[in-house]
Amino acid sequence: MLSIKGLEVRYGAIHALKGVDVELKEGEIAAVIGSNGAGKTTLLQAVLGLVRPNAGVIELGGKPITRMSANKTSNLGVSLVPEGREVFGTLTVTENLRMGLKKKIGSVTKRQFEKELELVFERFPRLHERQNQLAFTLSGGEQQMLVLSRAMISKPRLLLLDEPSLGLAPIIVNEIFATINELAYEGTAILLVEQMAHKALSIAKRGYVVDNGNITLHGSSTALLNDDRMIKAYLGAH
Amino acid sequence: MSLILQLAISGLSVGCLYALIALGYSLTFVVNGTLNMSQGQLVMLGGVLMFGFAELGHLPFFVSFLLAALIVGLLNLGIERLAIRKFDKGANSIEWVLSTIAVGIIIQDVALYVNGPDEGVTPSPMGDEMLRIAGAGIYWKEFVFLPVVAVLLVLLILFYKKSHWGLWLRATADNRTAVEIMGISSNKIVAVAYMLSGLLAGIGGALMSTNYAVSVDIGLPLGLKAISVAILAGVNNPKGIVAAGLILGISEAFIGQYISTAFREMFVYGLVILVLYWKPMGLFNARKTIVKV
Amino acid sequence: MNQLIERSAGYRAAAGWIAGLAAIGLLAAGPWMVDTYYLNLLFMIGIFVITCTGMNILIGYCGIVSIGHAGLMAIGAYMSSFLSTKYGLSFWSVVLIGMVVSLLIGSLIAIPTIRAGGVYLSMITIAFGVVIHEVLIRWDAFSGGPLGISGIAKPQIGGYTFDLKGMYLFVLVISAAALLLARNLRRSSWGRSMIATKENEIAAASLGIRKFAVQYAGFAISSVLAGLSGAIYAHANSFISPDTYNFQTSVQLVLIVILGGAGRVLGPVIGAVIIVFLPELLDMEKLRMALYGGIMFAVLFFLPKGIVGTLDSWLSPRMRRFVSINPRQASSKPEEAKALFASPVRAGGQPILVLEGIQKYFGGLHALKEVSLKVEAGTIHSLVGPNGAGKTTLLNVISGLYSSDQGHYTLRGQPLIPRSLSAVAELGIARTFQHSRLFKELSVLENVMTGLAKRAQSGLGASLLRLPGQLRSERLMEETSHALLDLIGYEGDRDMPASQLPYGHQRMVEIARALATAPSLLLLDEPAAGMTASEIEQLEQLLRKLVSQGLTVILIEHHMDFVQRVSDTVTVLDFGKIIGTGSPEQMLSDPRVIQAYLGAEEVAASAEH
Repeated sequence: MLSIKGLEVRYGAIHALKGVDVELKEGEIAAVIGSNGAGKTTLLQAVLGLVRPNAGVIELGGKPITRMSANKTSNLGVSLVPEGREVFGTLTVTENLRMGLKKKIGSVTKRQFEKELELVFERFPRLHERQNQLAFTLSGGEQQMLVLSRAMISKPRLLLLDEPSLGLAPIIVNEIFATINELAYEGTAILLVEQMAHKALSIAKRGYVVDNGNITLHGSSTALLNDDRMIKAYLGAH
Repeated sequence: MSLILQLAISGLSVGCLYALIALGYSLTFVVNGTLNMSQGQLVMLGGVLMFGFAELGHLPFFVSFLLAALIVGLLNLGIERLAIRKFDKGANSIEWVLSTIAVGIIIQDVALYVNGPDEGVTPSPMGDEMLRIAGAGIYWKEFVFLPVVAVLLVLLILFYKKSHWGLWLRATADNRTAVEIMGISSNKIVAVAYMLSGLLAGIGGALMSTNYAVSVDIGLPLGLKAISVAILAGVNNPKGIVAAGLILGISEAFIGQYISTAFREMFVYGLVILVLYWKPMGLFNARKTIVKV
Repeated sequence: MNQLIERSAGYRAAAGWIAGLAAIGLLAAGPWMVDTYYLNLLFMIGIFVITCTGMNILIGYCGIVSIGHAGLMAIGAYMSSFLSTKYGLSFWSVVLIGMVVSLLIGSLIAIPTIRAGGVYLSMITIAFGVVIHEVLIRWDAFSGGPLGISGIAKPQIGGYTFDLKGMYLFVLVISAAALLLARNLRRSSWGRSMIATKENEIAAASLGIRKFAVQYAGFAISSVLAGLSGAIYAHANSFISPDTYNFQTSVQLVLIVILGGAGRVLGPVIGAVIIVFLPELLDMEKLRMALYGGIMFAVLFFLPKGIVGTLDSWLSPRMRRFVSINPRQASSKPEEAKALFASPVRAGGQPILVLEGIQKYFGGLHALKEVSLKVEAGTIHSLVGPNGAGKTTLLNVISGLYSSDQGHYTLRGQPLIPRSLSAVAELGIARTFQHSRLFKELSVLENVMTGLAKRAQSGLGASLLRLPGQLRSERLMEETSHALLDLIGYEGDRDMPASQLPYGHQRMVEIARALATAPSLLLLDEPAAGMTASEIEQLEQLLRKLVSQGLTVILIEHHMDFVQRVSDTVTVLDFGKIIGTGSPEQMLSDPRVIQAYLGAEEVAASAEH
């Protein structure tokens, strides 16, 4: 589904990614783990097309999307759930979800959109209760559910998740992770950037540890979970 | 009594014009924190074009009207591209203030060069008939401003609430990063906001020319009057802007009648300064900024 | 080596003075070299230089664009003309009155608009200019209406009446003096505070700099200079009318500043020369305003730093290579560094800061949940926790950047209400930010000096005139800042613009700047992010040194081993709640903490060893 080879990104003098390789199959979750500033978010942004890679190849389903704009990649079925949630605070829950469709009003009938909404509300009944509330009045967990649904409503083939556990209580994190697992089971390929390493690896098939723009460790998640270097690498020891 | 009614109605007519022009500032300011300081000159251009098409070019009234509005709208699209996009670094940067002022003086001077200093009134299809309400007499062509602007406002609200562009505009105003993440080009949305704002200016100018004498130097004072309205209400508060525009129009009519015409401008700007002392973010501004964690 | 550099700097300063005096001398010979026509143009350039030097302070230093300064010139001109023609007062007294009235009316506009800021300010100043113009046309009794005032007396001194030559020389002296004032201001604490506020309001406020005070000062200076030049022009010209002071004039004034280069002392000179001579050269009657608009546009597009600024940024790196850098030798004397902290609080087991039940909501988001915390004086207290746990939010409410929705704060036993960044800074709490907020336009040394503004700033007048007392305090600030840079171990070029610093150094310089405010409590938000291992080690030593001198530090940090080594106490936050406080060993092996970080119940057991 997704294949990244030798990806390099520079911001001026900063070398954010120094040749990163990632493979991801349909219906699979790959976890990307690493300390702050390691380059995880840059990786996701490069895949979506928000930053231009300096070198390397990104392929989606065998087609190169390396320097494509976010506009084009999202049309090809890539969705990003950003770090820090980024809801549209002054829009209602329904309007937030409508933004996820991206398409113009004419191309989606009201009925189609309502059908999509039903699916979302089935998954997250709490959003149903709050469908006419402004998004900034939602709690952190509800906002995370909202952005996850906003990304899913366009039925992407590849979902990029950036720190979905950020600032959430453990019980809500469990709920979110259960949903992520379900989405993968339904066939979406998911690239999951997460600081809760163990939680992420417990649902992922493969894991990649990023440090300072390099992948320092990768393998199946079971192998990584039992690797001593994991905790050390994760805690950001130098 | 009839005089008071008459003043109130004609004050409202001017006021709704102010509101229309001031909304043009608001439209773009909420989206990306910039506005076109030459909005007044755009209104002037709308009026001069209207007069030119209808009176000198002998085009039908409504064709002239549409042409004037469209040309100004497209012009503002160009202004966004040239004078805003490169300098758009938020409300506190000074470059876009300067670049749009430069645009304004260029528009005015070129218009003066082409059109000359003459002023003109476009004959309104409403003719010169008077409307009589409870003894008060008011020209239909002046009164008609009220329903026309009301219809425009309803259309604008519908556009905002119902169309996808309206949704995108509101979304960009709220969170530009998130819009980019959706794969929607926020530059395009800003451009649409500018085009809309230009359309409002063009319509405002064309409408104005049907009752008031329009010449190339009305732009600056008109733009300032409109920005006063926006400041009084708070630039990011469209409802407040409509209210403030109407209030200002009525106050002007009464001050002009009962105090002095010379005193009128002083009054408006004095009021704006007082409001800024008291409530720097505008009278009707209740919106709290949402800060991210 | 050092001496050599100091001497070469001395030579450069002397060369500057000589060049300046030579230029003035040459210009002073003007009346005997050119005819009246050109002398008139030169006189006009002088008038513009006086006004635009004030506006340069406003636009270039403060970042405020006023498009109404023609109105302030008009006030100076009309006030002095009115008093002199009506009451026969002498030029010297009416010019002073003109300046004072211009200042008063300028203040009336400035006070509300500075608070509102940004585009509001530009708009109000335009409106102000337009209103003044209207008033002048209509207020016959004062202004003579559209016809203006004529027969304004020329200045006299003794038996001498100033003719054009005399006026020209007078204007030459005044404009040179204005330029000197602008230069002095730029080298003073006021000037630095203006630039700091323009570049980063939040960082400046965190150093205790009040935006209103510095921006008002800028506006006041520009009002006085506008009034002065207006009065001089009126009396030299003998005749004034409202049309001299319209919107177009105001635009012209702004154009002169940005064309020359906003913030560059010599900018207004270059700008005025071009704007005065260009229309003469082109011999344009029509489309003159369009030409100005076009120039403004071109400058913004192609020369955003203006002519002088562009030349300077091209020349100075080359000059820098030529005149080698200034690596002040580290002279870290512990007692000197100790004297830097004006209010050291001794470690005595006393809590310096106590938080009780702090609550913070962002809409429906509960960012801080009943946070209670005691920070012991003279310790390093670390806040750790996963991203989004609320650490930075906590720092922001303590430092007054956000207001909390509920909770009590006690600082050194006194109740503290964190009302604003600058108010909190004045109480001795300094902070750094997660992302570098250095003032890029200022040099490394100047950045640190901005931190001293609150403690050692001289009066505005003293700064403009560079009085001996102010010079002494400047030198003291410089010394102190050097000592602080020594303390943090910065060994690079200190006159380099901060924008060119490598990231790790930026973080260190920011700490030095925060220390300059002489805090008793220092809040550090991820200082080690982006630092190399050796820089982190340096930071560690610095923190130890500071704490041994009585400073208290609250530290947010993700490098756990660093936290473990350096902290006395660690508090762990997770989803807005404190889940534990204790010694680093205790906390980092606490199962709840590991769970918060790794999000797995099963690892909790395995890590407990």
